[in-house]
Amino acid sequence: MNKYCIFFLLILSFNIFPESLRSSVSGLVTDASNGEVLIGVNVVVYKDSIIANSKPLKGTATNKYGFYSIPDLDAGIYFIAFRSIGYKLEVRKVEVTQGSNLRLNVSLVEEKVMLDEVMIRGERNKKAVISTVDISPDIIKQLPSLSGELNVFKSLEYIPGVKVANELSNGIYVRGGSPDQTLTLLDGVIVYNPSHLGNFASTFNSNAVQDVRLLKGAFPAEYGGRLSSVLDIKLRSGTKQKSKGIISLGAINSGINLEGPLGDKSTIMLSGRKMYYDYIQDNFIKKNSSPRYNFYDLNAKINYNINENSRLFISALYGRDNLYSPSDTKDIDYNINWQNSTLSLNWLNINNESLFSNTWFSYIDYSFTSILNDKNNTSGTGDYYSSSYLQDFMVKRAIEYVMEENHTIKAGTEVILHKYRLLYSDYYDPELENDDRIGTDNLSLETALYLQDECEILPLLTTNAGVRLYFFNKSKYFRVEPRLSMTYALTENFFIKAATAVANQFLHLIVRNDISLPTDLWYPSTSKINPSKSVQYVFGLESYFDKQTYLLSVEGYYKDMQNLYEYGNVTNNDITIPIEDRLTVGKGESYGVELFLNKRAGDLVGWIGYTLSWTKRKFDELNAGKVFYPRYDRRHDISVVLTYNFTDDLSCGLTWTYASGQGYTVPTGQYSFESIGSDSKEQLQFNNSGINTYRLPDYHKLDFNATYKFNFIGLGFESYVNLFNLYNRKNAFAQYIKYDGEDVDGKIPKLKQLTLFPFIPTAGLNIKF
Amino acid sequence: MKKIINKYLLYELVNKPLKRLFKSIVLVTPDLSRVLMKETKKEGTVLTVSKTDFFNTSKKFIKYFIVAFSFINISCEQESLIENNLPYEEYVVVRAQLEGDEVFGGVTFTKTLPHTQVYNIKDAELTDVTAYLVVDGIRIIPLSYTKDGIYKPPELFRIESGKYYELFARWNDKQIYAKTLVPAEPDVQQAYVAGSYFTCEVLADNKVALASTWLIAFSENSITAEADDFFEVKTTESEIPLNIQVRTTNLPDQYRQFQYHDRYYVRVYSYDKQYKDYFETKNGNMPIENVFAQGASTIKWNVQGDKTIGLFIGFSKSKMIKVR
Repeated sequence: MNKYCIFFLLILSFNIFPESLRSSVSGLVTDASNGEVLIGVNVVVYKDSIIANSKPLKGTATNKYGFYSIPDLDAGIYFIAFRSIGYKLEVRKVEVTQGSNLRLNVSLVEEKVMLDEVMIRGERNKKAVISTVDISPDIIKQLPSLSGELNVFKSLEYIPGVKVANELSNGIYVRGGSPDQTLTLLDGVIVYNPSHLGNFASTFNSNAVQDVRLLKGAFPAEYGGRLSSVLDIKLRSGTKQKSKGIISLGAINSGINLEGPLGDKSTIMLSGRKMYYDYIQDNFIKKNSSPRYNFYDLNAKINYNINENSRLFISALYGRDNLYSPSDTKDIDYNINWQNSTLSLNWLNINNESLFSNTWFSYIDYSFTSILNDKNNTSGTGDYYSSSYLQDFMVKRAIEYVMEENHTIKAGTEVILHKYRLLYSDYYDPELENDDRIGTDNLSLETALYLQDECEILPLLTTNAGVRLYFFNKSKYFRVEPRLSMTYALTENFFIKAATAVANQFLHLIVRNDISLPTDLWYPSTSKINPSKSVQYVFGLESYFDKQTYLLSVEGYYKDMQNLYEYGNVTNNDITIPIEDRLTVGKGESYGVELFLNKRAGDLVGWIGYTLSWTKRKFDELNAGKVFYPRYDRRHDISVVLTYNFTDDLSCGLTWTYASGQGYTVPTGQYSFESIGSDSKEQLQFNNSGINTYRLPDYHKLDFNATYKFNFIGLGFESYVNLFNLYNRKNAFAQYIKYDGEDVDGKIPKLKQLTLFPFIPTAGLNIKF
Repeated sequence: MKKIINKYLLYELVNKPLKRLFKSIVLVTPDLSRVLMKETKKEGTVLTVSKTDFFNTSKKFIKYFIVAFSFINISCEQESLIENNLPYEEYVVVRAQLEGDEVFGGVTFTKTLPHTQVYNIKDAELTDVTAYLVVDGIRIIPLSYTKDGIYKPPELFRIESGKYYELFARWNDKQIYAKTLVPAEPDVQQAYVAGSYFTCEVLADNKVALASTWLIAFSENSITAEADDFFEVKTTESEIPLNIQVRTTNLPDQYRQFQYHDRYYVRVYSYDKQYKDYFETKNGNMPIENVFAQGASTIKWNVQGDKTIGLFIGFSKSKMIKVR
């Protein structure tokens, strides 16, 4: 253990790179109106003077923290141009002396332009980045959303390669990986359950989203701890100008956002939100037997500018979700709730050698409780209680050093102390929650160290090579994860990309597969439960055409997964059986092809995505040892996303999705069997021939959103109308057999289908003050 | 063209409905109506409204807004009757339990029926199965149809403990096979009270699976109550007989006072080891009427054959043993 601590301390302290006689210019680029850092700003250096259309000497772009660095400059006079869509061009003249490291922080002034290049930033083309999608909040804002607010997770569902299990599931399934295999980072802090039920809304303040980046696979060494993908979200830190706020009034949820300066050096942002769909159900649609649901969440972020080289961010998040059955439920009584809290301190610093560093101290608290009470023992679920409570204490440090124009080194370390308490049982008693003698307690330490080198090794070939080392102190697991991605520019607008990555995951999300209600249990690797491992390969072609207005990309992927865990084929949830004995190990693979056509500029912006994919699982104990397709495996997936700005005040968005029907386990016949044992009861049973062998009908729906801005009694208003499932497609949530009565021989079985979301119009209002 | 479209959209689709919305709110909101009437008179000039007026107006506006839009949000899930398009696969279902030192009760052969058909034994039973038992690989006993899918030997015969029994059957070109051991009567070392249940210590090896039940009885022939299920089924990997502890389910509340101390018994069951898999998964094929549930687990059977399920299992049980 000690050697790892020493390693960690070394990383914390190594911020001195060999000094060079050559000079550099570096700094932060921010928005002049609100002080927010700007991501992806092109920074171009000219020697002595700027001549129109002349070739610049050097160029770079700001990273996700708004930082840029131009190394390796000779002494002399330079003109540095800062350019970003939606901002006025800013040119600064600087005099660089030999061996100096000039700090140049720049603020850009907003300029009204037509929505342009909203999807993928130009700077990415040259980099060895693959399977990565950046979604601008501008486009998310215009997409239809049932909750009426900017919905990050719903917008991600339209990206090729991203799927959901059903309309009540939360989280995203990326390239055959379950939601726990996606690392969600909110301002660098892990969020275990980042979305509310059914992805209606994210658990964080969506109005404050600055940048959303989804890495669908083969991610670089700076990310780790999950098998499949990374969702990296950055929030704004509040305006510097004046205090302002937004009150959002929606049919099913409402909220408030407040932001403003806090003295000369600080800004603050606060927001709160409450969903009251259960109140509406109970008061207006009492006969509705669908689950009752509500949530609330609170977010806060404070930004303190220590000096021109240092910034401090303190952020906090608290959210709670409650899902419960209607009071008159006949079959199963359920009460499921989960709670997310994070508290984080983030220190961003640029030292004299233009070394950019970021340090986090975070505390994460997450709990998930499921109580199921099978009222008449015909639901097939049985009584069930599970509680998963975990606390993480995380220290993370990342450094970035631009050695040359096209050569950046990133390194970092993470130390996370995980504290778990797990409990499951075949009955619920409040005493269980407080009884320390029951349940499983676990304390484990996860340590990671990475080194990543991004460089242009040949004029047309850029690579991103890295390695990530892991140590998990439970059973002393040590893992090495090599990562490599390459981009070869055949022409200025045509790229060939390839990547491979090995990833390990030490935390496992175990869910019940026999029930569509959420029953999450996080369980760490132990001596019996090995870390999961994935090996990914991605190959892609990317082409820009019509003056880069359009992007067409084709990507193929293959992912092999080992040591996946599921509940075994045992129906007994007895409290005395250790959870490790209930889990069974298996493997999986997923592969597919994704097509993505993106219109990136003009009044009409959007994309068409198509995915052809296969996801498979194989467990010796499940499905008689035969390969099966998980519920979220869908062969074909098409999404069309279009947004149109009629004027500055009126815009609309339209989405259409189509997906092959989800896998579903249905019986292939019925039989009567007298139980063998002391309970010799003759029972009618269903023969399940295999897991998810049946497919529900294909899923498709059209959603529409229109937003109109206007002024009234001196306030700014933004009204919206959402038409969910416009042509009222009766998508099947479930198909099941229900007995509708009895005839002379016995009960009469009927096949029924449940549709959860038919045509739903919603409207809402945002009041800005 | 674009301007015309925009103008039309703005006027017809946005301004007009908004005006209508405001007018309707005017009718029900006196405070707001005053504000809007002022606005109408002033033709878009900036209004000066006192804070109290503003908050009162806003509150009512918000209230009516929520109510108005709550109503349009009223839509619920839809349950509909659909055509039966679920797949149907015909499976043969086999059932037999062979109790040591008891008369053989026969083997049942039935088939699965489609889900939406009312279950009837006459439709399910198989009457033309060719089947026979083989005892310890030597003795062959033919089985023939009697009634309700039950096949029995031509003459009564007693199952012998400690012997292996094999089932060979054929139906519609389907080969069916199963093999089981009928264990000897369990060797119970002791039985005692452990809180609200009883525990037995049984000497057993790796060929058997053990389970136990509690009984309240005056005698072997006069049982008042007996546990309706096993709490657990225990096995061991040891080839040499070991003492295994196996517990019963909890006693019902009315018997926990132990006032009938002379009437508490346990009975231990010794099954072929394959029984453990069946016991742990036996609830997997239960009918599911809840929309949130689906059968993800399947019962682990020991009968082999193409599209064949079932259990062919041997067992023996101990005599009733008085609990200390």
